[in-house]
Amino acid sequence: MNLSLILARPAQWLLSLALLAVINSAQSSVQINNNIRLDGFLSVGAGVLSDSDVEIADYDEDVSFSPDSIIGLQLTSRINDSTDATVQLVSRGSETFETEAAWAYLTYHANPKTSIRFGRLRTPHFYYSDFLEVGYAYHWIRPPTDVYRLDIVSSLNGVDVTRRFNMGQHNGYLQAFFGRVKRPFDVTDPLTGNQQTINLELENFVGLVAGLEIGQVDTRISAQSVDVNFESPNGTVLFDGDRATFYDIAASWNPSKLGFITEYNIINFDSPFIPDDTAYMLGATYQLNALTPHLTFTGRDSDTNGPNNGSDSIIAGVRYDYDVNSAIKFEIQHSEVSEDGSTQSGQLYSVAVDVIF
Amino acid sequence: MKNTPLLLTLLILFTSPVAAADIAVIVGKNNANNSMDASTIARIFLGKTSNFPDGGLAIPIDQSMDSDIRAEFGETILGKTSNQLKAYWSRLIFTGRGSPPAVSTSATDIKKLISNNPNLIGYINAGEVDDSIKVIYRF
Repeated sequence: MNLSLILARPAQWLLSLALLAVINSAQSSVQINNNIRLDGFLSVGAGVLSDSDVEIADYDEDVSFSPDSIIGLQLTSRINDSTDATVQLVSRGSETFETEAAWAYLTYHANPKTSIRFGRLRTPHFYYSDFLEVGYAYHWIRPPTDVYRLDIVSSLNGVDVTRRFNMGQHNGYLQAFFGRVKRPFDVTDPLTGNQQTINLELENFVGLVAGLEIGQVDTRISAQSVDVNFESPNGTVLFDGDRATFYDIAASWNPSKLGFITEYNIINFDSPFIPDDTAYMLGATYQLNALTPHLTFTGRDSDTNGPNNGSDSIIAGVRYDYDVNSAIKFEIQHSEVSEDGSTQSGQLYSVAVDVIF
Repeated sequence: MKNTPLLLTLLILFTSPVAAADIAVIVGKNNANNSMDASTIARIFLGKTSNFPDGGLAIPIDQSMDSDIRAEFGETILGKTSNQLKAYWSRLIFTGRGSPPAVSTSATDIKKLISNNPNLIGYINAGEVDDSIKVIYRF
């Protein structure tokens, strides 16, 4: 398979590969000597907000299919005994289904426990970061929006090293990464209301992640640091190499049919212009055969000196695994958003179908 | 109690056939390991280790997705339902951290593959065990 060809015409490849995958998914065979692997995920979601005073996950008062709809295809090609090439092409409804290579990297397996990846990688901010867009992999329609922010830097260009280890019966891993991010993003000028495009540059992006699984408890911590540069289109330097740090701690516990997940994180800026930001979530799931009802409490707090800025949400929903590769989900999110002393609240009703193939 | 024999007959009739057939976890006869506990087997099949207890490379072979034996192996040894397993693997696949075991659809094929390769490990119905392979765990 020619990777450059795929990257040159991603949309066509995506479609033909999706068809191929659907045909192939009916087959199952021993693939011990197979050199190419194709995996895909698809989510179709719809949602509507109860009123326009709040903003949740890019939905509004009219039913929309865009924010949670996504298709992704991942090709893994074994180049030799120690090296794989992986490309993950993703089309998001939130970006009018333009195809982009969310990931494209080479993995070098230095030994069975150590692997090194070079290329475009997912930034490992959160517990669910690595499979953020694979709705099938978790019970919500989307990970809680109060906690899972930083969308703009969800991928980086760089290198990471992952080392797996065993402590008796417990399994763990250590991951270290180094990279940079350069991408344009749109902001709305608060004075004129005009949309502007700003170039965001993150340099010296370094981080460490440690995960340890002790019986039914899975824990993960991550610490990251980066130099932020960006200036407004009129040339005002808003950040000039200011350091930002990020810490995240998460644990999940699945004693039986009952499961718990909690996560807490802090974004800290050296710049005095941007306040520190903390967020948490605390949730429970219960598996009732093919049904998984769940309940999550989340909160985000921006540490300003003046009025309290932040949000609090309750998410309640159910996932129904109606087939071995597909799930349908219903969810209600109630959010209260405080900004500059006033508090608004609203509900987001959403439904999604998640498939992997 | 006049009904007792009938009840007893019904009980015997309906309970005994339900007792599921045993499952045997097997390796090649040239594999140095003679027995393994369930948690070690689970770690191999979940991709958490790629070694047998003696340090040799371990490659698991799964049964086909919709088979009863796979569901029972999953729930008893791996502690996960089919849906939980699917979600577990989707997390690893899309992070480039692992891929699920290769699948073979018949016990005959599994025995043939395993008898020729000391690195392979699989599971079959205990009734299909023969002397071409070695049983290291049974449940």
